[in-house]
Amino acid sequence: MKKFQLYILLLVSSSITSVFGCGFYPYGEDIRFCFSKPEYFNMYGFSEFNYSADLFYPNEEKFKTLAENPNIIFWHNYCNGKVNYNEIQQCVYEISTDQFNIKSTNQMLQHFYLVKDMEAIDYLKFAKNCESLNVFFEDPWERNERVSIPERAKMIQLAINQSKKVKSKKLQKRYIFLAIRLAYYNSQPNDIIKLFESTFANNKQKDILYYWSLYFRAIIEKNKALQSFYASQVFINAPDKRFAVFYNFSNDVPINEIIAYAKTNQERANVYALASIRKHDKALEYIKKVYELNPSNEALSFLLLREVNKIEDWVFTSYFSLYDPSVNIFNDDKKYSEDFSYDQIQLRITKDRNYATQVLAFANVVKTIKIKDPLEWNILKIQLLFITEDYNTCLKEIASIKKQTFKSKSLNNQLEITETLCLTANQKEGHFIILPETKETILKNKSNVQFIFALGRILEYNGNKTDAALLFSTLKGIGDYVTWKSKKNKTRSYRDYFHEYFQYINVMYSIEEVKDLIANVEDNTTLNDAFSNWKYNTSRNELQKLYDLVATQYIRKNDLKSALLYFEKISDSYWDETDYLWHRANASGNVVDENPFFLLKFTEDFIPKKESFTLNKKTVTAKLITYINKAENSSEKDYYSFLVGNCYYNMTIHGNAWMMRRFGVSANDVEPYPEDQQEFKNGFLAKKYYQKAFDNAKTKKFKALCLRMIGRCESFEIMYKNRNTTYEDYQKYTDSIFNLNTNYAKLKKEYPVDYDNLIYGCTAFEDYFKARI
Amino acid sequence: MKKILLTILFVLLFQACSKPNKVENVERAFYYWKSDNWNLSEMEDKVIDTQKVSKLYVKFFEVEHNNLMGNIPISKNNLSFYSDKKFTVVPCVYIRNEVFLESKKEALDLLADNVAFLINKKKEDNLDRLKEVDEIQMDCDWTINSKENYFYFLKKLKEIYKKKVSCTLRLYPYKYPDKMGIPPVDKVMLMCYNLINPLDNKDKNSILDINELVLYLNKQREYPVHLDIALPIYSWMQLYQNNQFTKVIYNDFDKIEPFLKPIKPLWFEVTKDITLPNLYLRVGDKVKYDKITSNQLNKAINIIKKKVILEKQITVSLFHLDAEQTKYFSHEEISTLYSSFSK
Repeated sequence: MKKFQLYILLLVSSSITSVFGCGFYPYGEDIRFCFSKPEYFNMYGFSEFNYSADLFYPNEEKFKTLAENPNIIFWHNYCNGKVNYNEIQQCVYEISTDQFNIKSTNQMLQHFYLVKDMEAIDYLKFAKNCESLNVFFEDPWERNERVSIPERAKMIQLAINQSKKVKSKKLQKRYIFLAIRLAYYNSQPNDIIKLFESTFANNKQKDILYYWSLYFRAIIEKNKALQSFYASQVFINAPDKRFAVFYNFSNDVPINEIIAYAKTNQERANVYALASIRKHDKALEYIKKVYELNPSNEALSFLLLREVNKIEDWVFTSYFSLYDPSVNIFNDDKKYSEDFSYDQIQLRITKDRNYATQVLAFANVVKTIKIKDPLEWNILKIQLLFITEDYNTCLKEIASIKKQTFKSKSLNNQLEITETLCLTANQKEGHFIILPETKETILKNKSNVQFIFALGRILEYNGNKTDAALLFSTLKGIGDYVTWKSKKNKTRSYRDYFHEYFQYINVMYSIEEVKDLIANVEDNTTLNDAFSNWKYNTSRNELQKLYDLVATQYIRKNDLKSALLYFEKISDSYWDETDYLWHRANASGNVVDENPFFLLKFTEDFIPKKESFTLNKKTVTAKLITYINKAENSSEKDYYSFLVGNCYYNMTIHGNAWMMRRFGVSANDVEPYPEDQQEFKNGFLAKKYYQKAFDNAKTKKFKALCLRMIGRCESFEIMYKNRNTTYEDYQKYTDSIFNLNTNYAKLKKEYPVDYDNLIYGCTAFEDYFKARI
Repeated sequence: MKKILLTILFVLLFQACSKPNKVENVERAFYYWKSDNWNLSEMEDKVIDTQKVSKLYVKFFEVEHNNLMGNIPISKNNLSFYSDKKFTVVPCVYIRNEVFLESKKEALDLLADNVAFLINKKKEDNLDRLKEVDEIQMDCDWTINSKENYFYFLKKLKEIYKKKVSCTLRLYPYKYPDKMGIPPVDKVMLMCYNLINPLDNKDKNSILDINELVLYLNKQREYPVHLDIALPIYSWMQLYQNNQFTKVIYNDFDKIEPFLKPIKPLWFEVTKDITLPNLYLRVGDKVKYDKITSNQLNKAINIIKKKVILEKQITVSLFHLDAEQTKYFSHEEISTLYSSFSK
């Protein structure tokens, strides 16, 4: 596994920096922030339409309980409440017609036999016989998509005949409903219209059979406005048909044309309700209409929940993770063609918070006494207060609602989460901490990665980067994950996000900030309470790595002595356990990383009398300090300058000791490491020391070798200034780069005899190095 | 003089009783009856080329009656040609007799319309690279009870399709036209095979028994519709295990034959366990081998030539184009089957 990790690391490290790669990129539901989880709210009937970046999909179970199933309710009422729901469920959905007899143990059947309701028994048998016909058959003659079946046509007629024979009005309607459904599957739209008009259209009391029949009437309707009207009525009144009828409501027809078919305010409200759900942008104006026309509309609270979820996505996904909202209009081309702008995101968040204020204003106006779910409504209002950053009112409302007794544990938890976020966000500038009174809730919700991350972000944005890092560190190893971008992102790309605290602080934290973090961890090693153990768990285990980070940050600043001080804090076992370092790599025997002073990547071994020492970041730093001193002060300035040049060369992205400056090179689209990114790409220090070696060289041949290496460093600089953007003709590109190299030109001019050997024959390096003396 | 007149009269009478075969030109054809292939195999293509076959009767689909769905097409063929071909394709539809026993006139109207539609659709989908087809052929073992409906259907189909409609003609309706009627089509294909129910008469070759053929073609008859001739070039084996019929074998005769011991005419005993794809023959199993040879076919052709009055231009179609069956016949043998009619 370690070999594999090493391989991956090297693969990534050797890739060219800003080429878009193919592969995983977080999107959609992976990045959507949502605190008001729909499952906490009692709105299962609409849950197929919860706000989501995914497509809607139907619930496996249409109803949470049998008591919500209108068909079960129908039969319960038909039996005058004498048969319980489970027995009805068994009789209607499970028992086959051959088990319909007087000896049946099913209570619904027993009841019918007892009261001699043979009409009901015959109806149930007939309905069960129809079941196998309620499917579409592909037209074997390939004329149409579907085919009419004579047998089904017979059953339609039979159902109509039976409706005329039975005495029960309820069963009459049910037979007609069966006929309508069969007619739909038999592609007989005219019969659907005829049957619906004659039996249901003029019903003053619209029961579930009306809406089930209207469903089939709706889906065959060709007039889009009328179809949308029918669909909206079915949607609100027939919960089991909601998903099926949803897409029969047209977004393209002007809503006034749909409304024109409504006769009552309830019907008008139903149209606005479904129109709201079909919108994935702002729907407040429609929701207001629903309330205005029918405050007790069943969908009203759900509409507010959807709107809150939308705003959470627009505000929180952007605010906390700095992604675009998960549900947005950008396609990938557009997304990545535009630069990342933190300021633009903030502007949009401000606008969306303003929209939240408007939604809140409406929610406040609503008289909860008139609506179906007052508790849920008030909890959503609280969430809107948090979104609009009215923390004081939000906390007041939470305190007030907590006094009420309500059973829902999940809603209670939702309130506690909002309260914790609110309390944390509502602190004095410059004094943001993890408040003691929030610790219990935090610990209780430690697996809620969005919640923990949001807390961390609030602290980070308000100056407490230490606690932020500690909270981010707790997310490590949790099944759920959160990914995020940084304020310093400048471009969008497939590698512009972070997924782990160390990766983040490595790039985004200053030396002092990492030192503060270390100090905090060290100062609190004795804390042993549950919260501290959780908070410090990762950082305590990774303290050595944090020392490594500080030292590496010093190396980036070329402050080698300070770097060495921090490397010396690290125990030897750490180097043994770190996968990507030299001696471990050599132990596996398949990696090219070698001593950075004596070996150049992709260049044959050419320096004799190598000094042998264990390779790790500490020993290389120590040796670099020593050699730099010798390059300045010894009699072999040329030799040591050349070795120092080699080491700095290898510490670039082109060398075998890039780990002196980096813990990985895959997050470079974030524009990180301002202090040494140019050095990492161009190798200025290497060039400087090769030049020093050149200046102090005693032989012409060694001077030529130094010039060759100076030229190699220059080629990186030229390459980054003149990027190969087309990748079409690589040879042409490399030739053009080569021709721009002034040091190679100088080599050719001043050392014409050596030019070919050094440029085209790397094996000549050994002779030229030996010729130093 | 009287003698001369008598002689002339005799000759004229004789000619009246026995019209000589006058076939001058034979259009070479094959049936293609497989349902599960998308294109011809290389071998099949080669047979068509070398035999200069100009017409391929392709089964497009079959029609059966289903209690739920009514009359429906099954076993649809998706044979396609992606390059120009020298031959034409005659779409064929096999319709089960029950369809005509179960259907009323309205259903038959619909059936004719559906058949014409589906043939046209398949032609457009799969055969647009071929020459325009001017004929379709219906295949049905009609009975006295289904005759009226079948003929009604054929007329209806002709009205809708507006091109030549032909149909197959078994020897029984050929022999008894008064009883079985004359189908209202442009021409018929006389099927000179499958004379016996394979499981009924175990001592006779159920594909082609010369004696049986002679019984049907016992005298020359004038048939009022143009006749073409279909001949079998396929064989099959009926497998009996524990004296129970278990399956029909269509392939791999060459792999089975070496391990068959004759026990009586047409019957063999398996002498070694044989494992083949989808087939496991055990020692002691019995096989009735209805084998068709060119020798039998030549005998049949001689009888047909003598007893069936054919026009100058006829089509002879061999049933059917399947490399697994044609490999048992040489190029010359197949060619002779066509050319014998005009010799």
